[in-house]
Amino acid sequence: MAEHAVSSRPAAPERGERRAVLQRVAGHPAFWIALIDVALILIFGLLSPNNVFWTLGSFQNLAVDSAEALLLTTGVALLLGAGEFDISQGANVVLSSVIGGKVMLALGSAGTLPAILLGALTCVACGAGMGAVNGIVVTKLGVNSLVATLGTLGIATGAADLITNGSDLAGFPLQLQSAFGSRVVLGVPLPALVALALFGVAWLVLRFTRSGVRILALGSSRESAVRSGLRVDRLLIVLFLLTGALVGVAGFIDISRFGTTNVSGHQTDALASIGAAVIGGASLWGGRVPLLGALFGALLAVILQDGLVVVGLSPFFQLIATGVVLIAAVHLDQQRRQRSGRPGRVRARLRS
Amino acid sequence: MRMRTRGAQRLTGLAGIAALTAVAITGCGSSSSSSGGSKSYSIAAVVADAADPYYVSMQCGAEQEAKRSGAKLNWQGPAAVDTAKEVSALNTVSITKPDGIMISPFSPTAFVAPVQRIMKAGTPVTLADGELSQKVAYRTFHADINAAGAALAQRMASALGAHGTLGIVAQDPGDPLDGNRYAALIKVLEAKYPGITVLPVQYANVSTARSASIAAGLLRAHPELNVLYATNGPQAAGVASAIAAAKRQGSVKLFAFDATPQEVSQLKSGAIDTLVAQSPFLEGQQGVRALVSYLKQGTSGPVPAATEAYVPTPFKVLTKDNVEAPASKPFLYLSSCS
Repeated sequence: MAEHAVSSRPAAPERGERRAVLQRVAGHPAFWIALIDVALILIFGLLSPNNVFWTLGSFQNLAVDSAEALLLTTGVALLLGAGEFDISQGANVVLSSVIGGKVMLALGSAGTLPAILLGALTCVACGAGMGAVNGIVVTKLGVNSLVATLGTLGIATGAADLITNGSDLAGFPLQLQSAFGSRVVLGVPLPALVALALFGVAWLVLRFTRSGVRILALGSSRESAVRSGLRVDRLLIVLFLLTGALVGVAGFIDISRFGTTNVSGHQTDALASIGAAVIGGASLWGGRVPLLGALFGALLAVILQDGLVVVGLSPFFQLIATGVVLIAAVHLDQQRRQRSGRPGRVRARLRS
Repeated sequence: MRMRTRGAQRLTGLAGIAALTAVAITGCGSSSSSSGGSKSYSIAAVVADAADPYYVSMQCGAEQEAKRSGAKLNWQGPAAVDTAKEVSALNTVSITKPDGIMISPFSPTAFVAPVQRIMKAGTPVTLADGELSQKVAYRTFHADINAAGAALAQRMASALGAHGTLGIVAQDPGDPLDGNRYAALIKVLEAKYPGITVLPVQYANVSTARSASIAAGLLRAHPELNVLYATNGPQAAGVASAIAAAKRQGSVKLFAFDATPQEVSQLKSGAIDTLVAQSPFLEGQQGVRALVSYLKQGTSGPVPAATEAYVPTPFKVLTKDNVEAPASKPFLYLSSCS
C-alpha cells in the first residue's frame, strides 16, 4: 500500500475486492514487521512484573526512545531508496548537537527562549550542512556514498572532539528539558510527536509528489534517470541535505532530553538505522522505500531494547536478539520477493 | 493455493522468531524471577558499560551483597559507553518499580533529572563510582580519585628518582571517568615533582593495537622517555608490547590504572611496574547495602538526598611485592564471579 516502487505498482484487483485488499495488506512488508512488534509487546507485557510493560508510562518511554531512531531510519530509508548510503549519521547527531549546544550556551544571556530556538535551528542547519557536504562529495567528487560518509563520519567526530575538547557540554537552560525534551503533550512525549510529524511529511512527499518518484527512479536505475533528463546531482544533494536536516533534529532531541551532549555515544546509530530500514523492507540496491516498514523496523529495535530490560534479561541478549531479528526479517522478505517475482536478489546478482 | 503456502511459510518464520525470543526470555528469566519472600527487595542496577571487567567486578560485589540480604538484583547497562542508552535503560528499569536502584553514571548531568524524579517517587538511588553535578542521590560510593592520583605520582617519583619524562596513553577525550585517571596525576606531578616532564596526553580508545603504535611512536620520538602510564588494561597490554618490541624493558617503567586479570599477570611477570586500582567490588557491595538498609527502615515518601558528595571507598597501589597479599584481593578485577 505504501510501498513505493516505480517498476511494480500493485496490479488492479481481478476478483473479489475484499480478498485483494487482504492480499495487499498481508503482502506488505510493514504488515509483518508490525505483527512482530505487536507480538513482542504482548510477550514482554506477559513476562514483565505486574505486566508493567503495558502501562502508559512504558509506552511513553518506548515513544521517546524511538524518536531519534525514527528520524535516522526515515532519512536512511530515503537514501537507500535512491541507491545511496549514509553511515555518518551518528557522527552528524553528535556534531550538530555540539554546535547547536555551543550556540545555545553562548546566547544564554540573551534570554532562554531565543537561546533554545536559535540552538535548535543551528542543530538542524548543521545537520543539513553535513548532509549537503555528503551529497556534494558523492556527486561532484564522484566518491561512492559508503566511502564518502565513512570519510565524513571521521571528519564530524574529529570536529566535535576539537570543538568540545572531548568533554561533553553541559549547563543548558533547564527549560530545554521541561519545555521540550521531557514534555508530554496529550499523553505523547513531544520529541516523539516531532519525529512522527517529520516522518509523516516524508511519507507524503514520497507518496504524492514528483520528487518522490524521482528519488525512486534514482535508485531503480541511475542510468535511465540520467537519460530521461533528471538532474541527478542536484536531486541527490538536496536529498542528502534534507536527510541531514532530520539528523540535525535528532541532535537537538538528544541535548534536550539529556541536558548534555553525548560526544562518545551514537557510534552505532547509523548501522542501527540501516538495520531498521532493511528490516522494514528497504533494499540495499535501491528502488524501494517502504517508509511504514522503516517505522516499524525502528520501533522493533526499541521494543527489544526496552522489553529485555523490563523482563530483567542480561543486556548482552539485546544485541543478539536484534541481530537474529535482522537476519530473519531480511530472509523472509527475500523469499517473499522471489516468489512474487519482484526484483530482489535476482537483480542484486545482476548488478553486483 | 499459492497464496496459502506463501502465507504459511511466512507464518512459520514469524512463529519461529517469536518462539525463539520467548524461549530466550523465559529460559533465562526463570532463574531471576523467584521472589515471594516477605522481605525480599528487588534492586535494579544500571551501569555505564556492562561488558567492562570493572563493572563485572562491581556486579560480583553487588550480587554477593544482594544474596546475603535476600534481595533480587536486575543488572542492566549498554554494552558500550553511551549516555543516551544508559539513561534510557534507567528510565525503562524505573518502569518496573524496583524497591531500589543503583547507578554507575557515565554522565554527571544527564542523570540528575531522572534520579530526582525517582527519589521523589520514594525509590532510593545510590551511585557506585561516578558522581553527579548536583547532590541528588541517596548515597554515592567511589574512591578518592585525587588521592589515588597523588599516591600514583608519589610512587612514580620514588621509582624514577624524581627525574624523567612521562608519556600518557589515555582512552578518549570525551570520557570523564577516564579523564579523572590522569588529571590528578598530572596536577600533583607538576606541583610537587617538577623534575618529571609530562608529554601531551595521547588517546588510544581502549584499542591494544593503537596503544602499541602510540607507545612505539613516543619511544622513538623521545629517547629520554622513562615512564609510560596507561589508563586501562587493554591499553596497558598494548604499551607493554611496544616497550618489549623496542627492547626498552630495562629503561622504561610501565604504570597503569585498573587491575584486570591481564594487568595483574603482567604485574607479576614484571612487564608492568605499578598498578593503581579502585575496588569496584566494594563499590557495588556498598551501593546495594545502603539501599537495603534504607529499605529496612520502612520509610515512605520522597527519599532524602545525601548532604555529603560521596562516601570514599578504598583504592590501592599494587606492585609485585603486595599483589599476592590477601589485603589486595578486593582490588583485583574479576572476569566472572564465583
